[in-house]
Amino acid sequence: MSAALPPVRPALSSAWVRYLLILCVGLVAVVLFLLVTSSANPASFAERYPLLLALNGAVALMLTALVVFQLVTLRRRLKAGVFGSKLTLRLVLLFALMAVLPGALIYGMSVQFLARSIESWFEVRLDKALEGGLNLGRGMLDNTRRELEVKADALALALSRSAAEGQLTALKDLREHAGVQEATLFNERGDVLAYSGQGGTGLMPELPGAAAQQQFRAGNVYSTVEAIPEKGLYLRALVAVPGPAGEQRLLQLLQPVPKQLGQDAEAVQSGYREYQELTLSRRGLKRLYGVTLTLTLLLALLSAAALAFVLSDRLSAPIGALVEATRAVASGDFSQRAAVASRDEIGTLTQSFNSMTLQLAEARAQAERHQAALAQAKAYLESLLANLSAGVLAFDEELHLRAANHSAGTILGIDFTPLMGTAAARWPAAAPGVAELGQRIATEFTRGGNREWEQQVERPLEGRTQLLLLRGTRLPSGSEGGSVVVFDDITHLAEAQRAAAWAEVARRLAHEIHNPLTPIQLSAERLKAKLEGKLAEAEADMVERSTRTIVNQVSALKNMVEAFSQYARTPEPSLHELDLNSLTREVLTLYESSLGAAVRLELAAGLPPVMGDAVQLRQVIHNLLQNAQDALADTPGPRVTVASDEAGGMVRLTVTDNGCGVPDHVMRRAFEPYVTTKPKGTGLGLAIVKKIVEEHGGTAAIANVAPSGARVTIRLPAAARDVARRVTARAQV
Amino acid sequence: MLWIGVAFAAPARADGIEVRKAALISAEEGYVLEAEFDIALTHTLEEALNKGVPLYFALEFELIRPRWYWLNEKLANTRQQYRLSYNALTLQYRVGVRTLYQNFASLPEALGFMSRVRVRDIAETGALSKGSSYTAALRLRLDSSQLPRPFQVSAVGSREWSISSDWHRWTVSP
Repeated sequence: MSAALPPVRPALSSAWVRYLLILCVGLVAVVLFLLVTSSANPASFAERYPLLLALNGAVALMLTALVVFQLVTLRRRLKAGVFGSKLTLRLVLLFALMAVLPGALIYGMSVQFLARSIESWFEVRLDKALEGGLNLGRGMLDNTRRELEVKADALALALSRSAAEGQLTALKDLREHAGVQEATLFNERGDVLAYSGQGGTGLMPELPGAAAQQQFRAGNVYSTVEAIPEKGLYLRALVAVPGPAGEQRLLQLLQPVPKQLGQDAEAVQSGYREYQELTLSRRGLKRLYGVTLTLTLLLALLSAAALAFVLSDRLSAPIGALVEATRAVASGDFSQRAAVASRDEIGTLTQSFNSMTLQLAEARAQAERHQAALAQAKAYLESLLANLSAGVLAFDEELHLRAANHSAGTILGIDFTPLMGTAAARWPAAAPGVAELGQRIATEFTRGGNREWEQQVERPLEGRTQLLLLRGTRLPSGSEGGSVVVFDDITHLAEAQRAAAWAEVARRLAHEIHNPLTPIQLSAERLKAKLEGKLAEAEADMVERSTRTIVNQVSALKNMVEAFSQYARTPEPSLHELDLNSLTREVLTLYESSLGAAVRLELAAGLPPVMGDAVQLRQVIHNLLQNAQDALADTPGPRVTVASDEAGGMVRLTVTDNGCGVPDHVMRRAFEPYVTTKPKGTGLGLAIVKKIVEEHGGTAAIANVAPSGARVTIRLPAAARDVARRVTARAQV
Repeated sequence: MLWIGVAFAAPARADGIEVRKAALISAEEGYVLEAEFDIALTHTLEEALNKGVPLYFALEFELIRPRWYWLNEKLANTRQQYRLSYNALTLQYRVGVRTLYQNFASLPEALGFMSRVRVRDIAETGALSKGSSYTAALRLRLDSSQLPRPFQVSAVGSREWSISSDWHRWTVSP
């Protein structure tokens, strides 16, 4: 039954899934912490950020795989109809919803807030102001540069008038007058002709670069603002100094931008640069925060989903265990106990269930014990009944057969199985073998009411009469009414009683008759002797005949008494191994004269010996042949067949004649004493045969044969079997 | 001067860096690397530069002797950094190498200066034995790790923010 049901609880959330989940959640925490802290730490950010992103991605993938695995498992369980999986699904959905809704809300808010706040940093006004400041600075620098240009022009004009020898002094004077930091005069080839500089600016003049000279040649004047590291902003102006010999000379003026102005301009510029940097990087910033937020949300949601599976499993596990235990109890298995895992209501329920199961188990065990005791008692009773030698038949109230023990069938020689449930009154129709029995039982119970009864029934069995003693009792009409009939086969008992009675009669007859016989004979002989010669011939003749008659009859009586006493006290047989065939031949020699050619021998060769008393067995064969001879007295063409063979460990000897046979009324009691069909027989011949054969452990039977005649069969146990039985008996002792 | 290894590469792309020519020259004071690049900044980089963001370029050179029986022997490993910046006040571009710098009025001039490279003291004279063959590798790339932090996020996996030449390899047999 349980095989047809789906499995209640396969290994759903195996331990490794749980460990993996714990590992993932731990990783999520660590990785998110690193991500958030490194976002705020610029130094280590650059190297770590991609690695952290990759790590986060890997963890997210792991979690996704875990969740997918759990989903697939849940789906399989749902399909299989595993109990508790629907609850798990609902719990998972609930948990997931609880995680997703606030998560999504916070995520949306954060992203929106982030975008707004980053955008709010950048304003058009600020942009314009910074641009304006920068332009202002540029304008200022331009102005000072032009001033320097004008100064340079003036200086060049003044220098062109001075002689070549006084160039240096003129240059110095002019420079100091103009308030310029550095003034250098050089020719086209770049050779310095004169140099004048304020103290602390170094000895070597700063020459213009190749690009500056090129520009100068294009416009004959050149001025620029340069940022020289560690010196700040410098103004440089190049003008041509017309020379007398047509040789071109150049004047370069170098003037630092006023310190305050330079600092302010630099400040404006750096502010502008930083602002521009920010403007350019806002997309990057948004992306950075967006990615971090999204990853955090993703990891949190995935962890929540995975956790939801495990939690749902844990929540629905005790219910599943309970269901499994319930199924087990329903199918009769009380051994399963649901494990009590929690102290909440489910735990209490589980405990109650367990105690209930325990009580059920105890109750059932007790019932089983009782049942076993009952079965044992019943088996004891049944074996008692079965081993009872008496037959027992049980009937219900309507006298239908309910049960019969083994002995009943054995005694009656029938099988009671088809008669079960059949009323006793209808047995004659159902089973002719027990017709008298059924009829008697039905009549007695109908007539007798509730009292006990006892009856003897005779029934034919295998050609002889079986005598049964029946005792019937009504059972007290309690839970199960009905009646019981107990019967015994008393055929042998009756026969034994009869035989004993006959033996007693024979003994007394022999004793009582034997004693007066001798005086009667002697008296008759004395009478004859005394009267001899004293009587006339006629009287003497009469006395002579009468005396002879008396003596003959007394002699016959003596023979009869002899036979009686022989029957009464057959001596204990002294057993030896005998060959029945040779014994038969030996006895037959005595009948050669009387029967002669009528005898036909059919003795089987190699007959096993029998254990027997030679004298008594000779007597048996003798009696049988005598019987046959008597039966054939008036038969034309007499024939006697003597046959022997072996069957089933018994040696069988049959003597068959073709005489007149045995009448039916005699046949049934043929082996009893004083039953005879012969005018002269004592009726003891077959009785003696039966007695001797039975004392040898054999059987004797008589039957008529077609077309006429009778057959007497005796069976004696073969000696080999006899010996074997004795050996076995000795071994058992 | 002896030109011992010259390589000419494919024509330049629209943006990015390509090695046009590279050579290792044996001079009296040692080996000198001479190379020419085509440098074209992306629009984004140019915009950033013009807004005042300094760009750092890294020139990387390796000279190795391949050994089939063991790890390759590294004879030289040179790294040089260029700083390209724009001064909004003076409207000048500046290229700085180590402590040296040079101002340029326009970007192409500055890039032109950067694209012609001459590096001394690559290896001492006699470090390369005659008859052997060596492999030289050269590349010039934008060093995005020197960018301001927010740009680095943008630079991750973005072609706009990272320009680099492939490793250019050629065989040197003195």
